[in-house]
Amino acid sequence: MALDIALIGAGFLLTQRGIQDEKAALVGAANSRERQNYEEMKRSQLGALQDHNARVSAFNEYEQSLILTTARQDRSIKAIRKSAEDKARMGMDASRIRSLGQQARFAMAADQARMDRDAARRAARNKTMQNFLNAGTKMYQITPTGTID
Amino acid sequence: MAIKKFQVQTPLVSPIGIVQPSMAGARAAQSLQQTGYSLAEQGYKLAVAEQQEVGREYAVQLQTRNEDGIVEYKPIPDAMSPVAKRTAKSLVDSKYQTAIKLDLLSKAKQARVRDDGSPATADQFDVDMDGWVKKTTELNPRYKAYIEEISAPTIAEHLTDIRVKAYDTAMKKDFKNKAAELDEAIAYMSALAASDAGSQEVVVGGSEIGGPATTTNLDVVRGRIEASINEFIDLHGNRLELGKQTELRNAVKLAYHGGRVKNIASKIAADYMISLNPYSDYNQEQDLLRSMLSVLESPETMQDLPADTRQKLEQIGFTQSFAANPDMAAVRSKLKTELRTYANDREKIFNTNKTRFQNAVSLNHFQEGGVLSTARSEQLLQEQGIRSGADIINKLGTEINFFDNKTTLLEQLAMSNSPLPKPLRDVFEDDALYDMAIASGIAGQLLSLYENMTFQNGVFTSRGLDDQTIVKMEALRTYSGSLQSMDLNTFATKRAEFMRMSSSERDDIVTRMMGSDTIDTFLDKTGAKSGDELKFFNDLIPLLIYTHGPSKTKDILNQSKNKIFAKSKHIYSPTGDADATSRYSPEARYGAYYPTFELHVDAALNAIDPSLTLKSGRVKLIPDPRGGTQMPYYYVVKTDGSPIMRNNRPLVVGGMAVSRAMELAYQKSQNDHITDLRAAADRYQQSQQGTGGVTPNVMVP
Repeated sequence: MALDIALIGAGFLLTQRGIQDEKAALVGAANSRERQNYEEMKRSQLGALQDHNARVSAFNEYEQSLILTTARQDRSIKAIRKSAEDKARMGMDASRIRSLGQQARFAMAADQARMDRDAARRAARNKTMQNFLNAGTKMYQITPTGTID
Repeated sequence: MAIKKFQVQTPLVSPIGIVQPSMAGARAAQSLQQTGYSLAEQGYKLAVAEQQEVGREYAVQLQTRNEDGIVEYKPIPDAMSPVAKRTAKSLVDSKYQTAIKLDLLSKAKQARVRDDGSPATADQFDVDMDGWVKKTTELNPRYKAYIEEISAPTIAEHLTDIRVKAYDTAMKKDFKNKAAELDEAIAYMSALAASDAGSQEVVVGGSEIGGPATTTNLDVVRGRIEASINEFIDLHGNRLELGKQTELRNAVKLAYHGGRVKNIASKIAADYMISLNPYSDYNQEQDLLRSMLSVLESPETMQDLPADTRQKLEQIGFTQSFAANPDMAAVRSKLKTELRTYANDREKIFNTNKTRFQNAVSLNHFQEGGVLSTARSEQLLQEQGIRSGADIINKLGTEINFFDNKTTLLEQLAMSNSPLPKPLRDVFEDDALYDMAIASGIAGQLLSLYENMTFQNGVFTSRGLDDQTIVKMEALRTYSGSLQSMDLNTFATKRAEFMRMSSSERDDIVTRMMGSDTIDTFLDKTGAKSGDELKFFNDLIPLLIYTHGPSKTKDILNQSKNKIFAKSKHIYSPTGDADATSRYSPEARYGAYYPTFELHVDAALNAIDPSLTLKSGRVKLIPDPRGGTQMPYYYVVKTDGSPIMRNNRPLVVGGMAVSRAMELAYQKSQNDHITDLRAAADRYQQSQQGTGGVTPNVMVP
């Protein structure tokens, strides 16, 4: 009898340890993913800013080159400039949109990592509860509740 | 200068992607959990198995009955683990239920019989079982539903059985009673038919045709019995074996007709038995009975019978129409068998009576001194169980004993003047029977029978025995009456051996055994003087030498020389010798009882002539060898040899009278002994009373 109970006790402890370890591992993994996503968000933001600057700079260079080259103030030049402005504006808008999309995606992934961490903690609590109940039920089933007359 | 196309360079900084974190730690932790879980499961399984064993053991050890032996439920102790309880519960339930079921079956059986051994009625059984159910439910509330469920059909089954059996028993009883009544009625009818009362006419009123009808007592009884049989078959037909119904109806017919045939047969017996002649071979009763048998077989043969026989049969009611009655057909064969058995019995009775009658006549004739033919003697002996010589040998020494006070018919026949019946002659003439008697050790009895047969009034008569037989028996008699040096039976055997030799063989062997001696040497030892004595010893010596050897023969002869032929003052001698020698000398033969013998002779003489006594010398004795030499009989004669008569018969003395005196002396001695014992017992009791002792239970003859 003693051996049986010792086995059940040892099993309970090992399970409990496994639950705690699993929780730690899952929380760690979630933390890691969260951090990486925030890093990526920053990198994306930086990339988008550089892209904007490059576009503005490229447009200014293009505009100057255009003025210098033609030195004309006719309608055709205005039209070409307007078309370049539109294109530059559309390019920046598209770049901004892409940048925002990337930001949103990373933010969501980071949120999910946080949720995973919370879920891992809750699961560990549940498992611990279950482990306790399981061991308690087993012990109840096999141990006398008093002395036999 | 041409206008350049607007170019935008791709930014240098862009997302580089997410590295998926390792899940190895999580998997290792899960593995650890799995291990822990398995370990706990294993421990739990072991613990469950252990607790199940605890539960089973509890169930095994559980006593379902209380101190009174009644099933009483005890709850499973709470102290047991749930697993053990669950395991025990089903086993315990099963055990209690089995015990209750067994109790129910046992109780049901027990309740079928009451305390006094009589079967219980349905009501008694029901009440008894209800009590059991109530009590058992009280003691086992957990199984209330179970008890009610199983007891109901069991009780119902028994109740049905009781009712069916009660009905069956009642029917069987009725069957037996009615069958017994019918048997009795049939027997009564048979007796009625056999008597004259059966044929008496009676008038019964209101027949179907109208008006009273005339019939007989017997027919009225038969009508009632047949009506009862019809009722009986209606009610109990299924209980009757195959063919029994017909058998029952035939039994009525057999009783009816058989009784009437018996009536006729009894008339024949009454009318004709009295006139039967035991010496006639014709038996009229048998003639009539056998004629009846023939007519029953074929009624038309009635006409072929002799006229007087037919007339007699018709007179007593046995007519052709009686025998041809078609109602008789089914039982005709049995009727004939019964009549034949009756006729045979009557014949045996007739023959037995005839023999007994004839024997009674023979015996009467014989007792009055008449002579019986061999055939009549043999018939008389047959009635006494003596059919052959072997029967006589078997009875010799017990029923046939010449030394007791009873004289049997065989002894009378042996001593009479009638010719010897064959069984009596065979005993001596048939060597096989003679050898059987010797082998049975009854040579003495055989010799006694021979002596009584052959000596008539002191004279030897052969009684029709052949010479060879006489020689054989005389040798035995001679040895017995003289020097008996060995057992008579051994001697007889040796003698038979000697006699089987040829005379030359005998001479050779005796001469060789004698050596240098001669017969005279041996004769000298005997002191024989008279011719009788010399002849006696001359015949005996060779046989003695063969049986005992020469040396012992001399001793025997020397020792017995004055004993065999002893001197006597009272033996008659034709020469007037006062001290004649004789093998029958009363002084030598009676020895210590000689004075008794003398008193007996004097008493017998005193009744004839008071002046006569044995010592007076006026009377002499002639021995009668029939009584043998042990206690010889004597004819009392005058000195001239003429017999002294009493009641017109020669006076015979000795033997029985001395035996009687011996018996009286013995009885006196016995009475004295009893008196002494009683006196001793009285003295002992007195001495015990005087000392306060307990009176012993003394056996007083």
